Amino acid sequence: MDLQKRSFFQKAGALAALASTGAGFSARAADSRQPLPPPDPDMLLLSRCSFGITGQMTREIGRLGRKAWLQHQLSPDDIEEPELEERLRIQTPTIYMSARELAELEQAFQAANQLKQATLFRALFSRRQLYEVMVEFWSNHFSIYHRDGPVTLLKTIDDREVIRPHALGRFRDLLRASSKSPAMLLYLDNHTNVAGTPNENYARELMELHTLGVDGGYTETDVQEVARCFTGWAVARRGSPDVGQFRFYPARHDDEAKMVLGTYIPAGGGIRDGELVVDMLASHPSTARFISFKLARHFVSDDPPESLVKRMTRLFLDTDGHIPTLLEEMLLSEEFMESADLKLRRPLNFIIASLRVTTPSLRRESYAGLRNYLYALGQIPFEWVPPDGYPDTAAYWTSTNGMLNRWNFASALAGSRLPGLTLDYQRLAGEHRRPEDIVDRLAGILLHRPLTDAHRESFIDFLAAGDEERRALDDSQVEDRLPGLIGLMLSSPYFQYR
Amino acid sequence: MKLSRRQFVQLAALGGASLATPRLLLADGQQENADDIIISVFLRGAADGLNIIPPWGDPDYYKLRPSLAIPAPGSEGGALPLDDLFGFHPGMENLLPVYEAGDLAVVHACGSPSPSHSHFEAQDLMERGLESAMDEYNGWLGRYLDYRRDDSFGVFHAVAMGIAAPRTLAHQASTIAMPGIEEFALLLPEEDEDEIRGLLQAFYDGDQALDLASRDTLSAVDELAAADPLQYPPENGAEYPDTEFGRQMQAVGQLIKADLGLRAGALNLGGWDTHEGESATLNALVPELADTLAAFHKDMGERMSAITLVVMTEFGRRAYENGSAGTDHGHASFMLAMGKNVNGGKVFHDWPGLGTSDLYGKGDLEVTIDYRSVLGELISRRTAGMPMDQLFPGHTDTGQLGIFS
Repeated sequence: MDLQKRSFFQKAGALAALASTGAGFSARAADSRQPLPPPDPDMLLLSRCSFGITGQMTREIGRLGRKAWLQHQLSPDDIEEPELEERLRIQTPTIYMSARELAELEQAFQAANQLKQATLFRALFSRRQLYEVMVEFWSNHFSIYHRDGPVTLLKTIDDREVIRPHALGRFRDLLRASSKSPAMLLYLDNHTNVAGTPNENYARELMELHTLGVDGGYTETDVQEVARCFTGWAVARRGSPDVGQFRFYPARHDDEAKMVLGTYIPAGGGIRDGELVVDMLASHPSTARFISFKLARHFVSDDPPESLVKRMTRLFLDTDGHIPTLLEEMLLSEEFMESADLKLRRPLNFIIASLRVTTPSLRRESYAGLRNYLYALGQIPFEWVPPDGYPDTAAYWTSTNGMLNRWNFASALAGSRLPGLTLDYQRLAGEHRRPEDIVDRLAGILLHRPLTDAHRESFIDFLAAGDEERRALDDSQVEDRLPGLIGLMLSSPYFQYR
Repeated sequence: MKLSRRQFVQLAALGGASLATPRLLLADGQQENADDIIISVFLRGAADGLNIIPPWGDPDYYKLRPSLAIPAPGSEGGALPLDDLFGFHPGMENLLPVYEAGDLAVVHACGSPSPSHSHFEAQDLMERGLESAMDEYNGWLGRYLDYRRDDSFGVFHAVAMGIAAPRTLAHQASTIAMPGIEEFALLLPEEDEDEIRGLLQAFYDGDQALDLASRDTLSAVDELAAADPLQYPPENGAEYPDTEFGRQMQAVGQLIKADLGLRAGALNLGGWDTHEGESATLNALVPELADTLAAFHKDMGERMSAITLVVMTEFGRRAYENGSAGTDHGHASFMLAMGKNVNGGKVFHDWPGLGTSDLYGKGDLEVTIDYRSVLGELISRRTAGMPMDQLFPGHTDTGQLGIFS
């Protein structure tokens, strides 16, 4: 390494160490942006719509252009991948089981483990990337904690029959399906919501978290009235032929009249009370805004531009909550193009993207190591306990624990030190042997965005390992030095944003 | 991970100050700081003050909760009496000696005046110390840290045990978030370690939260390895429960013993949202809470004269039970304060009653003591203090409750 550079880094490190230990408190400057050169618009779109950019994706968008690529992704049924489903049938058979078959499993955790594995597998390998991103989005919007009694089994049904069929459909259909999802009704205690002594849990979260939002205009009385509407909405128990399926119990239903959000619901409605509430909520202006805001916060910025949220809200109301229409408006908007580095990768995205860009050979035992890092980073699918889903803003995920585990994961992956995962350094280096060529190639494969000159030089110096002439590496030097360089690239700020 | 000798020397040369403890650094004429170490424990999910600190002396309690109420003292599974109105849930047996020794105070019918019955909104407001949403990012304990910060503050001045730092501690510097001490190590191959660390420092040289967290991570890993808090076993025969919360509380004790300069810490214990099957849930969670606090008190011993721990929850639960052997969202709940400078052995309250006309909203226990009055008194009595309108903007009632001496 160039001596001058080396001392520069030491000095920079020393200053940073002082700054961070209290001598020079830096103010939290939420508005000032990391001065990284932004990715080009194609790459920004690919990154936000996926769990990591692959070479195939860059070729596709180059051929189709942004708009056609996006429309292709918005029609996931046109993207067939029978080989992926075939592998899942062999490796995670419980995800295809009926409630009855699931109830007969000897060990319930099998169902939970296999659903998690399948979720990671699809995020990793599916070509329907935007669809998988939306599945994750809705799984958090309609968040269900996986370790809550029979929910361990029934989340499998919720994922297959509620979230996936409607992830790119209409919000109304998704909400209807969720309101009769056995996993949701059990998780939010609605199976014990009975006439006379109602349980408010589902009613409140339905309005606060699933539709209107906490400021959406409902009152405490509305919570109580909605709870009454859902009395008797429950799940068939073990021993009955329709075990684990939604069932309405008329005898437990409060059949008196109700008043919800100013609408009179006459007595004798039975199951229609709850269905009416779901439909009212699905087309409520507060719901339109809340869903639009959450989508914009997920895809554009932690603090999304009001102009965009307004347009999406109007579109939501005009299209009866047609999700692809909202996504297209948002993802091709000017606001989106200007949003580089405004979304931090969450841990799940960070881990999956690290794998998608480095393309390690992946043996079956690799799952355990990935799962351990997802736990350490705090984002394993379906394990957020409260019903509001994993946080979607950087303030939560920016932590010492987060950075430490990102760096540790990046280093372990890059060094092929995770069980069942091996990187092919010769293939990653390609034909190149000169340090600057290898750095440029890897920045292209891993980071998909331009580097500052100074950062590029740092990477090159690191790879040249003290050779001022930066001579070409031989094969064994490639094997020795690429792990460090790859780990560093994945640990750098360039890879922390999506 | 141990620091190599060379790394240690290099670090000492670079950021030397941070390795020594703040108190040792004050030789140059400054007074040793007299602020207590403040530990905040947040019970997430709205813990039921009415069954954790049951008002067994109020006959209305038994009318509202025919199947759920904790029986009066003396009956099987009865409350452990604290005075002639209140008792402990029977699962708090191990905390009773701390109460009787005068090191633990209970505050009842206490909480936030915000009418919100949303967990997420109410937690957020309570952690920020506000009654309604205002444009204030920082947490109440974070504002205290910002006000008090000086050169003695090291990287470990604020620690959150967990994956992420809660809003309570959000302030202008970063909070060290760690699920445990052992896990908090940088695992880089030895041959590249120095160079990669240097480059990470250089890459994260900006002023964003991500930069700050990154640089603090590097400093904290080294300080922790040098101080080696795991060398300190529990003292005085203290036994922490083998649960995540028990282990995290023990870790806070170890950080304190290792003299890393802790000024404020935050922990969470979740699972209190008892809409259904409440008794079973509380029978598991209440002993976990009580045994952990009792172990911490015992382990810290005399150190408790410079530590104050407070326990809070976002709101309480409906005064009457629902049809699921549980309780829905309510209003007032309880707080605990523990330390040698707490005027303990007493339940502080202005009991609003549980009669039909006494209840708030849809049938909730009314808030008669604002949680900010408790925390305000904590800051003014157990630290060098700060202006109350900065600690709790908009909160004017800082009546002296006498909980802290």
